Amino acid sequence: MVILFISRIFYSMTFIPFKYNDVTCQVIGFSIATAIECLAVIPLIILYKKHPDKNICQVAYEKSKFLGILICIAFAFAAVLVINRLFRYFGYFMYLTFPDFLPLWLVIGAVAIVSFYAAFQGIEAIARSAGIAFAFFILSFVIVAAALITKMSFSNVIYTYPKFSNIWHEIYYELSRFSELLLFPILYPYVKEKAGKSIYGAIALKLIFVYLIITVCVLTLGSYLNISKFPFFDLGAYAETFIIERLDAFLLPAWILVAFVKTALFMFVAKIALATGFKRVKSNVLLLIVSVAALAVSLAAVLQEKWSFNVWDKGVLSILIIGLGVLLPIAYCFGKGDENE
Amino acid sequence: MEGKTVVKVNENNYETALISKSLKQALLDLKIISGKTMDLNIMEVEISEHKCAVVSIEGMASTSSMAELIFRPLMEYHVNGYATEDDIFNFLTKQSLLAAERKIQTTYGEVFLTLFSGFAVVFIDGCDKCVAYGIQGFDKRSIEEPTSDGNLNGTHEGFIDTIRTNISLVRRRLKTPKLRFDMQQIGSDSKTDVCIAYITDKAPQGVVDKVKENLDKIDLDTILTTGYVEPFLEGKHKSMFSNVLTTDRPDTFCAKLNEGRVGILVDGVPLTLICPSLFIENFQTIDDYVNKPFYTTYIRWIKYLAFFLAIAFPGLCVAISTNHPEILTHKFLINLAASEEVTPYSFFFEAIIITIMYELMREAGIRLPKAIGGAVSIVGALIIGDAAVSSSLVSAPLLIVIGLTATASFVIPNLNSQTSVFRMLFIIAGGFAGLFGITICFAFLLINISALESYGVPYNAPLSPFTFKAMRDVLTRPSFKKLGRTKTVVEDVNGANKI
Repeated sequence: MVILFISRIFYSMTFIPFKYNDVTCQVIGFSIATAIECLAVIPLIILYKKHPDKNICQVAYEKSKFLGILICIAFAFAAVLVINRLFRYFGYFMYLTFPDFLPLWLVIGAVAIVSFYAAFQGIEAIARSAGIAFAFFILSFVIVAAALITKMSFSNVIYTYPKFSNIWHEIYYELSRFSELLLFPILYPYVKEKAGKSIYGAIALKLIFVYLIITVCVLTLGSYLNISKFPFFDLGAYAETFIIERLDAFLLPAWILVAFVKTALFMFVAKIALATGFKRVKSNVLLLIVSVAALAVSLAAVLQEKWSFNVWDKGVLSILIIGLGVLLPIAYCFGKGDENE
Repeated sequence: MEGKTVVKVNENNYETALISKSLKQALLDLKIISGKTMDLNIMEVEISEHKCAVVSIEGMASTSSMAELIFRPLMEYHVNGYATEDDIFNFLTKQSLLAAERKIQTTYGEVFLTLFSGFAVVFIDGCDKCVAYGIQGFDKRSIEEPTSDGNLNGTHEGFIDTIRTNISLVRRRLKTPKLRFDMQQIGSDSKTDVCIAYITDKAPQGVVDKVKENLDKIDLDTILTTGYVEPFLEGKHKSMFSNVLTTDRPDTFCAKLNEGRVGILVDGVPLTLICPSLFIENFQTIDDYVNKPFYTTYIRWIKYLAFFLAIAFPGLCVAISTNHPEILTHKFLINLAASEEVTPYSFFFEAIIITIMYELMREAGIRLPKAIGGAVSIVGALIIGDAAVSSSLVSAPLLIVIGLTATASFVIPNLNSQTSVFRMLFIIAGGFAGLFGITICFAFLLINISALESYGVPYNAPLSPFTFKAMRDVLTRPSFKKLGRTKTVVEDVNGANKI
């Protein structure tokens, strides 16, 4: 539950909200998207009940070797795309916030190396790190919110009339970031609690925190939201105590920790997927290949300053998320389950 | 014996070689095997007109005990007429109680093991067995205050270098027949006694078996400290942290046994090992369970803060002052700038220099004799504290930071090696990459801890995976009434895999 939440909250910390300067659209779109997400995960839960000890790649590989290998490669490719997208977001944030601080290749390279180390150590190490990152995120958010209490005002709330096209866009945008649909089919054999509890718990946590972030942002920043690129971090910059002038120092480490956990998770997913398809190759060699590929692709984009939501995110990744995270589990929902069901 | 080749006994094949029936040959064999070592004492005597010999190692067996418990009864032994070897052997093994520990030996390997453990061995001519008596009398350190883990309210007895005394210190505190000590010898040359201690209905059998299995894997010539054993108990994970707890306090040792852990005592070392262990246990002391819960809770949080300060405080200061000065308040920034203006080097470089100097002083203070060790502190204080500031080589705020960090690191002595290295890493990361570098370093630290498991138990439990019940003794210190009601053993934390 925590790792799924941590994976999702990465985007919420940066690009929530207000791409269209319309909080109402954002909230409505986000709520509808969350409802769709709740439906989209049902095939996964059924699949988990049928094959509790096998990930979806193993199930596919057992049914057809050729198709299985294709699916494994597709999962690894999707993971590389997710990491690429994450690194571009990260690079963009560092580019805007600390332009002369460190070369971007070094920033991305450092996160990639630490994530590789975590993925190398295995899912238990990532999950335990995610638990600490989650605690750190909550703590930093609570500290910043507490420091802002005196600055919050209901006079900052500006109601806007939602446009249907913006809501639709927001739903699509939100769903395209639901990359956790790629995580669960691979990770569920490691899950010790019930599948439904994990998935719906993570979605509920995400819902609560996104609403909380939006509420704090709206009440504190008001119309400044219209020009803010990273409202969540602006909260930190605006928060002030008698000891520290700005509290974004708390939010930056929390966000980096979340980024590293998410990157490590997708590196691990790619490793497991490829290890299922290519049994003769050592899994850590596969992990190295995936990590280098993800880093190379990301560096190529980051060094050319191509940050935006591109065709790979809009088209290929969205198709892969729906195909591998929804349609494939539906296809494997039918048929006989494992004996130890 | 026709057709058989008689193999002469020597130092390479003696372990399984049977003792010769002839006393003369047996004593010759002992001399050959030991290379006529000067500390092998052989006293030949006639008991009831039958040839015998008492063998011991000089300095290992007590001479007064030998005279009182062995020589006198043997000399007083008398049968009517000539005593056969069986008469004497029966007297030694069945009809007398010469010492508390008595072993019948059949091979030279057994004989030398007992001789080097301080036994006296009685050989009888015509008998292919001998009898060993435990009359150890080697010099040993008396029981003293534990040195590594000081406390105010707990016991003032610490473990010493002799394993038997240490076992008695544990037994005195846990008077239950469920407490078991399994002894084994490790080290092909040193044959060091290593003892596994556990309480049968509390320690999981899987953990006990795994510890024994790990000890069996040790293939070293000598075992001189616990450090020789520890890596074999830690398992495969390569981490900067150790999942085996060390203590020289019998009360801590017993408390851990009572929590279902397995303890390992090594002869010749006052430090004992406990596994499985958790990261959070480095912050717990026996004083915590003597003081009132409110005070212990407060002190525990101070210790957590101390760990944070010891690892990250200089790095954070360097990161903020070098790369993120906007975080500081105006007045603080102005004061810092004023003090830095007069120094020739950057805050980052100064921090590295002062940290290295501190480590030098600390290491010198530990290695030097206690009498000179104090002088190092004075030199350190004079050089660092006064001369460096007055000559404007380093700034006063940095000295305060390093001083506070050094003090904080003394609060958690178990983690000293880790905090020292990570402190330097945090300074370098903070200097080059600011808060980003600090966070990357923290992530590395986090994985390093998270990847570690101790006999199926996550090392950073009960924090992650979170176990609410066990966290009560981490965030606070519950009263003994509550602790008694809800006993949490280490295998019950979330994420623990039974082995």
